[in-house]
Amino acid sequence: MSDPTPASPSVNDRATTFQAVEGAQPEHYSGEVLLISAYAAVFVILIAWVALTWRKAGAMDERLSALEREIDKAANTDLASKQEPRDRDGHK
Amino acid sequence: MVRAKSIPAKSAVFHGLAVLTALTFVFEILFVFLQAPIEARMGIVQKIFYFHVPSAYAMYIGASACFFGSAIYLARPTDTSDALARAGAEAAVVFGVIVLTTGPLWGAKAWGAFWTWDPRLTTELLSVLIYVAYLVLRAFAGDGAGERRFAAALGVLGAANLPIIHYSVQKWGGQHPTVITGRGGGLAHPDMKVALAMGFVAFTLLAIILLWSRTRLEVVQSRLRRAEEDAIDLGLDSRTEE
Repeated sequence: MSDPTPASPSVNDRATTFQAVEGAQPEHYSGEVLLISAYAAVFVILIAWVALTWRKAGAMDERLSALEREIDKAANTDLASKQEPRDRDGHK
Repeated sequence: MVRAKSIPAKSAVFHGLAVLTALTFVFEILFVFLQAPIEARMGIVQKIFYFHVPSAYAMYIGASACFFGSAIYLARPTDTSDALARAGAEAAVVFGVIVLTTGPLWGAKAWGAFWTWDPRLTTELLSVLIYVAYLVLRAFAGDGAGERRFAAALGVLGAANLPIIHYSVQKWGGQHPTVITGRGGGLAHPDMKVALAMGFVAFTLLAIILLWSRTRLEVVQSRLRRAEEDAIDLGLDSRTEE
């Protein structure tokens, strides 16, 4: 009968030593890639913000145009009502 | 509510500042990549420093604008002070996100990890989250006087974290470098100093023109919203006749 083996690693299975790398230590991250990524991120974030501001300004421009159209329409209606012919007593 | 006087329109000064900012950024990039020396221990990745630190400084400018706009709004509510606070919070988030993006990329090389719960990193993240909360509040809680006052209180209280970010690295230690503070060793090469100084100038100019344009946009938006409400009250707006 063989010894029972636990299914999951026990505390005794953890690493108890660290071994030194043989030869030159490998580089985990490339400095050039990180630098370019950082500068790209700066400009992407700034351009995105400016683009959102631009879009907001465009939406406001549309709202302003709509409001101006409504005012023009109301002014024309008012003008037309004043120009309707009246009878001798001044009634429309 | 006291109605705002219109803030200065985009003028020759604004366009001059925009051109100057663009030229400063071009000079800064060329200087950083072609002239500034490579740091002895960290290598080329240290050049992130010349945008990372000025971004943090620009975040302070935005947060300060949010603080002053909010404090002025609480004392005397105007569209302009509210708009300045809102624009400042946006700037704080944008520049804060730049800091929190470029910092980990530098840390990956310098520390071997993108993120650690270092006091300065943690307080910086907390500050950005406060200004994100401010913007979420402004976006979804309406634009009444009560909501504006509540946001202004948040804008004032949010600034309390700024000195904590600044002094955390000195008081609580951690891994974050302290090169340009009083306890740091400074920048050893004169070209490093020039690159950093130009970075500060570029980001200061950028923060000023972005705050200026965003504040003006917010003021105009407030006035437009009020004009639309007046038009609806007068029965001019046919969009309500459905």
